Amino acid sequence: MKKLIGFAIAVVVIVLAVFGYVKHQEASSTKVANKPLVIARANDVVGLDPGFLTENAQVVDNIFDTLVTRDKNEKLQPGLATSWKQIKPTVWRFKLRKGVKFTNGEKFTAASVKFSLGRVLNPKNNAPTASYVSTISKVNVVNSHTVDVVTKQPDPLIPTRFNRYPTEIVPEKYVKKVGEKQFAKHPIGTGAYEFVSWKKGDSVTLKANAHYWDGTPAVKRVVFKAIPQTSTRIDALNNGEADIVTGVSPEERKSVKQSTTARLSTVKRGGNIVYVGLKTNVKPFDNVKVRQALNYAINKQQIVKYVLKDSAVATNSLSGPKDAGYTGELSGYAYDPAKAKALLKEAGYPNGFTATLDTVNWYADNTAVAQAIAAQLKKIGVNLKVKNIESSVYRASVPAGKQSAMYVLGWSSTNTLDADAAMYAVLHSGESYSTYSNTTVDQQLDEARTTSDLAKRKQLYASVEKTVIQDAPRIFLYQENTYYGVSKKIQWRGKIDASINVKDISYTK
Amino acid sequence: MKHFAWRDGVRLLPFIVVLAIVVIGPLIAPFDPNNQQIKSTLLAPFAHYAGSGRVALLGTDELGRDIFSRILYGGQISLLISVAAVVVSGCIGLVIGLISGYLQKWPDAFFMRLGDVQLSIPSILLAIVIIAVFGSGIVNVIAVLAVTGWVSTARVVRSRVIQLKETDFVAAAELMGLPRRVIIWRHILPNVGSLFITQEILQISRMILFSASLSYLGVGVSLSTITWGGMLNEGQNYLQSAWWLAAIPGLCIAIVVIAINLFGEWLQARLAS
Repeated sequence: MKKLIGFAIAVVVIVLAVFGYVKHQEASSTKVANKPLVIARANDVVGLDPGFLTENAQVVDNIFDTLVTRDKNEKLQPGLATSWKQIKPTVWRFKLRKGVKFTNGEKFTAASVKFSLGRVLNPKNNAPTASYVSTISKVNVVNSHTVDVVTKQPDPLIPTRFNRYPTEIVPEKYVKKVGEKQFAKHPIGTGAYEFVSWKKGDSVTLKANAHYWDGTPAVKRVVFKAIPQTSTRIDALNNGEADIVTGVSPEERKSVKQSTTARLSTVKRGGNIVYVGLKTNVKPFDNVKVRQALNYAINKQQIVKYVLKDSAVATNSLSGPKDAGYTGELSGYAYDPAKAKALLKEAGYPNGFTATLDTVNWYADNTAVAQAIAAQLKKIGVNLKVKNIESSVYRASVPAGKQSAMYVLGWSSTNTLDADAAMYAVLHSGESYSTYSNTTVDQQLDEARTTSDLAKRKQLYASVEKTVIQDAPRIFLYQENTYYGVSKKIQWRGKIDASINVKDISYTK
Repeated sequence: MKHFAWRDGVRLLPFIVVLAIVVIGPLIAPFDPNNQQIKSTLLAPFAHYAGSGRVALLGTDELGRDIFSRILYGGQISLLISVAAVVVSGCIGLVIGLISGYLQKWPDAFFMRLGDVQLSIPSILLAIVIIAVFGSGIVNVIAVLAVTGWVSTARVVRSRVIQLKETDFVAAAELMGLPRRVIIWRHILPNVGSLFITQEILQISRMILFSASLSYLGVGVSLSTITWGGMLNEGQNYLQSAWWLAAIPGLCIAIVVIAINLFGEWLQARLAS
């Protein structure tokens, strides 16, 4: 019996030792570069068709190319176009790169550009971000590698518009063959990465495009993984499961800073300008005095300092400091509850009113901020019911105008780094994310869109900001900073346009 | 005998303490649970408030609200929702169980198959669907909990009724030609009572957990209503930096569930003897 036990123990020890050794061998022989780079984000993508995104383009930007790209200092530089010029006030001519192929072998030509823009501009397709390119009337093919972009009115922003979504170039034959729905599930582009698989709700896997026109990238395989919980994302970063995590919450900055394996990358005012939108055609928010009262009742400096722990910057501005057309910080509503009460009384609501405020977890500490707002408004007699709406529900209800009369929304100019993108879609009447209508603002926004002279444009935006502050179609709050956790194994830092170009990432030696 | 009393104490005491705290909770709460002390956010347990210097017994949350006070207030609402749900689901289950067990034949087949169908759907999924369709709010949450809870009660009651039907006194009552409702009311119901009560007590702890899960998933009552599940939900984002936000309500849920289960055991033993 004793012998048997001894034998059994010996077997166990040997097995463990062998396995341990094999395991160890595996671990040490696997080079860092063979492991896929994992980018953990809060949400999975909804679709992968760059023309019809309802979210940012962090993932698709790696699969597709645009005619124009940006260098490290956000300056425009050639992408799929080698040069561009405004040949007439309403015509921009782009010379296209030769010899570029989509990953399925289809050739990139002028026809691809015409097709890619055409399907976004076609009003029948109802593209969610069509407003970003609505100044374009058509794209003319001049020859196989030259296109003319014809605008309705002079548009100084055409090169910037061709920098990000929805102007990514898609393969015409493939899209027509498989249809738009299938294309959104299995995209093919000319980009530095090729689509491998999409586990819906979980992850998107891409591999390096071996024939990429700008050289093969250092990272061979990349996984965009959805990890909704912020704390779980940070855990993934700290234990090496993730290399980049987005949306590091203000609370977790410290934990990332203290990590031995990762560092914090901060982009000041790199996030959305968050505000409480008011449906200006719904009582009592149709009354400008009510809207102003709400603004006077909110102490946004306090919210930013104590609730958000300085992870955002309180602002009345409608665009970010890095945006072309930014006109500086405007003074707006100083915290003044007495004045707020007086205004409510003038508006005919001496005892305040009751309303519902919708919020969504797209913004840091959203429930805390919403409840802080509710507590501050309660002091002037406005009772808010705070509803935390599920992300996918909110994504559908806000553009459809089905949200409550008070709703939290954030907007920024990520696609163009231009004030136009930051303002037009949320302030121009009739736009799907806008609940505001003012003919002066509409007309000035339209004019700024067609003006080439930057000084003149700045004047127009300054005037828009002045009107909007006066008219208060929203409760002005703050612009978020963005924080990324980055593994020390790689070289990368967060960018102001929120893009993650995997091809720019390199491994630390 | 002495040994027995000791065991009784273990089973009863936690329940009595929990009940007492929950009932008088709002009276002993040191702060207004909704009062935001914005300059004292995320205070650790036993830390002092910035302005007044008073002690935050269990710390403060992300808006500087006193967690101890919120636990006391939230306990009442959490328990109220669960008890209300148990009362509603218990009544439905009792009636269906009596009808099924006594009448048998097609009513029995119908209700028991209905129960089978419902049990085959995960109750959390059912709850989310119902709330998505009818909207959230306390009344709806109670309704949802009741809908998902009646089956087990109905089954327990039914099997007891079937047993009772075979007894001599029921047979005698039937022979005497008493109407069915009188037999059910006078002869069967009193004998189902003790079993039913213990079953429902244990249901309460299930409902507490279930309503907490709903609040945790964010489909329960609105944010302005304090519930333990809701506190857990809000606290989870701060697990790394301020563990007490989620740990304390989680612990409270666990303690209450254990206390109620112990009490249920005691009651069962008591009624059986």
